[in-house]
Amino acid sequence: MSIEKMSLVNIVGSIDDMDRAMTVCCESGCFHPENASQYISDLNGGTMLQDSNPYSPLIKRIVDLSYKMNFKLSFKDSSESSPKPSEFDQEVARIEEKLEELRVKKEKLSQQVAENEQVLVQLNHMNGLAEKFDDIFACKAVSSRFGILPNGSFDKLGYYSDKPFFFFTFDVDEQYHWGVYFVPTVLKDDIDEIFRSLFFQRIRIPDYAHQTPDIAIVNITKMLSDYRAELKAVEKELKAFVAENKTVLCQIFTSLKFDSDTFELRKFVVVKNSQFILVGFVPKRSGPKFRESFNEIPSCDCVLREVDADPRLTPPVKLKNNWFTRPFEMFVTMYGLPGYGDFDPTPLVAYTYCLLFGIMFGDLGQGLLLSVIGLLLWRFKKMMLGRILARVGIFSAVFGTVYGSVFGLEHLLDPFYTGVLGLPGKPVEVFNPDTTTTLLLLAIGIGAVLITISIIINIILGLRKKDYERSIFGHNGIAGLVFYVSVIGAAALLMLFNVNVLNPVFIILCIVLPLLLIFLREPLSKWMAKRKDLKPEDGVGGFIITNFFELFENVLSYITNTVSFLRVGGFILSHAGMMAVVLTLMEMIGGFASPIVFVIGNIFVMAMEGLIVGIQVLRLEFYEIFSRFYEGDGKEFRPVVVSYKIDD
Amino acid sequence: MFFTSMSSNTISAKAKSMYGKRLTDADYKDMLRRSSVSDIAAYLKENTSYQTALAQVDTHNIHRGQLEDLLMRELFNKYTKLCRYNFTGDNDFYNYLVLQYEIEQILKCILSLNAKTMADFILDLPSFLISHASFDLLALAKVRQFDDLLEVLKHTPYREILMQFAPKTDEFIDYASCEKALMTYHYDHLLGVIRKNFHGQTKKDLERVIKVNVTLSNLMTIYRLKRYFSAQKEEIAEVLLPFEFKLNKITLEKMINAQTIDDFFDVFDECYYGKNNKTVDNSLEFEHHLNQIIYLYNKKLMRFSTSPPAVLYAFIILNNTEVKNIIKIVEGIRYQVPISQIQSLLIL
Repeated sequence: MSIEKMSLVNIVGSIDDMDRAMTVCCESGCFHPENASQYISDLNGGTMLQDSNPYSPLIKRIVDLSYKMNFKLSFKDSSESSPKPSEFDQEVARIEEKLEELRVKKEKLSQQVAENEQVLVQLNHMNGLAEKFDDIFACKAVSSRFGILPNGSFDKLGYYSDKPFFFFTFDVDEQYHWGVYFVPTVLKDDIDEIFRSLFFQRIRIPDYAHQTPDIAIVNITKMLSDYRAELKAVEKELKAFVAENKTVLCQIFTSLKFDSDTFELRKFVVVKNSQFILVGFVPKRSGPKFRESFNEIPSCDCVLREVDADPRLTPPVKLKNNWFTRPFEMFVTMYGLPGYGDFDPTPLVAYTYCLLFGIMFGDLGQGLLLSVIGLLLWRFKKMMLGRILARVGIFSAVFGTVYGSVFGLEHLLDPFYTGVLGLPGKPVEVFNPDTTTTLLLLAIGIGAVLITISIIINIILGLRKKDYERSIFGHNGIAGLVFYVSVIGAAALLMLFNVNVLNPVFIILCIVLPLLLIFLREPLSKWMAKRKDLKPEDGVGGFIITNFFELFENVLSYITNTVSFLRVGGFILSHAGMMAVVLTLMEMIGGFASPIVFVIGNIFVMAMEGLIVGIQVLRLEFYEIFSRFYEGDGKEFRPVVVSYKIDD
Repeated sequence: MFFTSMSSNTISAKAKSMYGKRLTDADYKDMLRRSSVSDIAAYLKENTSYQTALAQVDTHNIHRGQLEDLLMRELFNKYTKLCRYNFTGDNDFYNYLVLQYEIEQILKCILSLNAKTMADFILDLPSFLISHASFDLLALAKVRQFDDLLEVLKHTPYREILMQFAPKTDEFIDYASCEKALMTYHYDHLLGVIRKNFHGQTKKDLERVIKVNVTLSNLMTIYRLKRYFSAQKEEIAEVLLPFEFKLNKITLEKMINAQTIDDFFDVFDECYYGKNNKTVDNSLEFEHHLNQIIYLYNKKLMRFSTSPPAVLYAFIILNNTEVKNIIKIVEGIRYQVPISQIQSLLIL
């Protein structure tokens, strides 16, 4: 339960063996490269490699092909029948060519089907026409154009009222007027231009339709069915072609992606005097094995060094936690990774999150159900949140047992308490007014303990870094701790045991003195660090004003942060309250519907309250706990690996 | 009162639900991969909320202008659909988009008269407006000189406004002054209607969104006049609309008086709208940036406002931006502009 220890790695070798070295790094899966720009200035004449990736164009073509062929590229090992690297380009070109041929064929047939369907629709819209097309087309002085005119354009026809044409509508739907316009043949070019600008789509009546619309419909329907059959055959051929070729494309892609990602590692390399230099980090425990893997490349020298051997490089952070706490790394990384050498708060988050969630969402039935849902989400959807739900659900069930609540039924466990445990009744009756006050006070108590723990962690971290302002004089340092514990302790003693410790000595030593130290934290910490610039930068007046308001804000934050934990108690009551509403509704409705109300009510409360409690606890973690000690400025450990995933 | 408030809230709920069906980043990415207008129309028809609008359309043969007309018509349909839920009776606010479109058409007509391209005016005339406009739009398309225009507008307040700009024989019509007069009338009228019909947060939200839009459009005007026309400060001050929000007169004057574009940017960076501004390199980025501010402001209003008319106003602006984005993609693909360049023009 900590941060993985790292080793700094320097790899130096002949430029001829660079690609082999890159391959070893990629295959190891544990090498985090560092950008060469951080140390290149010290190499006197070293250059960074800026070659463009030669594999990218072909990969792009394959990705385009997969998009056109509608399948997802994935890792596929090569087989004996796989093409050789020298044949990749040729193979991809072959697939592109054939696919294009089939696509054009399909497009053409689709067009023919669409056109004929359009003609059929047009003909069906010509119910009012009793004339034969032959007779209409035989007119010499008058030309006719069948087609569709958008309704918007039809409205504009009034503008052309002085032009020599008339438009006859057969039918109207939401978008178009279906019809024909007649125009004197000598003026047809001008009028055609007007209709073209009005987006009139001409539907050419084919030769075989030169009868009345009824006869034409029969002819075209037959033709359409032939086209459709042909189109279906092409689609089948296309499908078979995709099935036949997608494996080979995946194999080519796998091989190229490996080469490409390995090549990408070059941007971290510095070249000098025919030698390449690559610097990075590997987890300490994987170091020896990583070094051994370079034994096969004689010209390469891989040296493992202490993590802080080069102060210009910031070591990356890899969290290392046990099976229980690991899923909660998600919350920590959401806030920001800890710095290398800092404290990994994941275990603290894991246990406090589970505890607070359990207290706020205490219900035996709902808790167990939540765990099952979590496990299923993890098992089938690989959702990390599922693993968290599985854990918090158990805590919820445990506290549900304490409250005696099973799916909102507050007395279902009574026989268990009285019969098995020999208790007089439920251990905690949430709705009892006395219990309510105790629960709320307990919530504040939990808050005070968590805030105290956070301050102690901050003190330890500050001392470790020799940051005296942070560890001793800061509001989250020793001065802050003394003030906070004294005030909370004095209030608790007064309220619970009626003991008043607020005498002048206590007030001066435990309240006024810590506040004074916090106020003067900046000059005091400089003095401890033996610095000479003790005088405030903004002058004494500015210093007093700034620090007075900061101190005021700090004191206020102790109160608000502690009171913030009241929500823990509040949610215990709200959960019981919401379930009471569900049960009342169930009783009001009665009969067959009441089980349905019970189930829906439980689902609703679980979904809504589960979500709210989940967010509220996270808020407490981030605002009340993390803000006291956590900086989250770490750099993520990102080993170079080959990714076979394609982004959209 | 109860029904009035309920109907208004329906506008808000309905607008938010319509907004929920907006195009996503994935939709834009998919559209950018298409290779023709037909493909984009087919995509919109098959995968987006424009399905109904394009249901009967034959996407194989669709023309760019027709698609644009259909998208604008759909936007107007959404607006009329939402306005149908207004049962507050005599509330002129809900007619604002028609007024805006009317003024746009009048201004387009003046431009065409100056350019002597009135013959093409009919082609871009939004047909959906014909039955809603307060004057005969087809007659507007037949206008050939300024007097004709005044005749078409004789029963509207626009005539009175435009009369003073009648040109002498063979002179150009003063477009900038016409634009300023008409737009000032529009916003004055709109703000007056808002003051009369709304109060409290609704009034505040509406006044603010309108003034933000006008202020940013003023900034765009200053920038363009400085960059492309090297206009004098008097000329710039002349064309600005007399409304502003979170931009005091001194700052505005500093912008107008700026000697160079860089000086202008310096003042802009310090004003309310420029505080979070990235480094501005060229015209495209700056205009894009202003449009982005308008978009984000309206997006925020859409999400958080509880005033139905403000939600309606923001929704129309957001939807209009979406339509413009589609048009940019269509045009980009038509002229074979690289995908990354089209992408950088989208307001998202």
